[in-house]
Amino acid sequence: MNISKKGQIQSGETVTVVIILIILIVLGIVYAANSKIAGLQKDNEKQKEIDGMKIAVLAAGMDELKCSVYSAKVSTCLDLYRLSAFSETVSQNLYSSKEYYFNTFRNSKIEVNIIVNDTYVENIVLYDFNNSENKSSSPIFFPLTVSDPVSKINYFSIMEVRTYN
Amino acid sequence: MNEKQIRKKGQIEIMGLLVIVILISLVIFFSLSFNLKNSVNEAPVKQDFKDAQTTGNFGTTLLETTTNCSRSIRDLLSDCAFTQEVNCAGQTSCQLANNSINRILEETLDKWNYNYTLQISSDSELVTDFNKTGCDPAKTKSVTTDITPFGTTFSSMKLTLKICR
Repeated sequence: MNISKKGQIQSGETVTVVIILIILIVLGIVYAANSKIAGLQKDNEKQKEIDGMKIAVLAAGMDELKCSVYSAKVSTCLDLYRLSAFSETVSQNLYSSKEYYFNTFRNSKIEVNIIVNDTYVENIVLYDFNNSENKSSSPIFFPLTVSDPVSKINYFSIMEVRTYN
Repeated sequence: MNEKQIRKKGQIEIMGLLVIVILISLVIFFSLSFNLKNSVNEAPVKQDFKDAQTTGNFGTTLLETTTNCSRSIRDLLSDCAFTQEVNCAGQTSCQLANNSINRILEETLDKWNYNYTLQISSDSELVTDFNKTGCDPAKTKSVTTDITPFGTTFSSMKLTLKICR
């Protein structure tokens, strides 16, 4: 009688140890999976930001938008009228322009904020396309000059790029 | 089982527990150190790169901007540093340049919550400077600096923008 009770207690101990080990292993796997997911999310966010930077550089260097009289002292200059025309063409999808620029800009939003005077900031959305449900990346800011060739005024502007996926 | 055998079994069980404890501690130590190492290494590199992207064009764009007075900030700063001849709507070149730069900073670096120092100096003299509270380059982890030299009729000047993290 005593011997069988002792055997039961011993097997109970073994079962407890096995259960604790299993719990520890499961916790370890959950922790590892969580850190892996967090790492992947961080990589994804980083990739979106890198894509945003690439898009900003590409958009700022586009011949469709550049100033006609390119002065060496102006680093990055976009023409105000070309910006407006581009924005109108792409937003209305004239000549299937949205599909055309999708090859370059993918799922992203590109806008230019022009500081016109002490009280007014004009916003021109150049491109906005998102066919995914994903949240956008944190914005990339790219300072550039927007020039009005008629009045010969240079405006301080910021190109803001957000990418989706 | 005699007393000696029971004591030996107890010692072996304690050794087993010790091995498990050591293994768990090792796993926790390695996973923590790996995670911390990753988070410490990744963040500043990415942020530095973004800051460099933002500051890279900032100086040149700022200098080329036309003010309300139809003169560029570059011309106003040059006049402010050397001749002080410009007077537009009752404001001196220094006041006009300061107002325009302040307005641009309000819409950009201030809005994005950047801590920065912007200094404009001629050969040895400080012409004007702008500081966001809390930017003390001596106390910050990383400082992204962009220097834009610009020549004037009289002498050379430079614009230094530091972004502190």
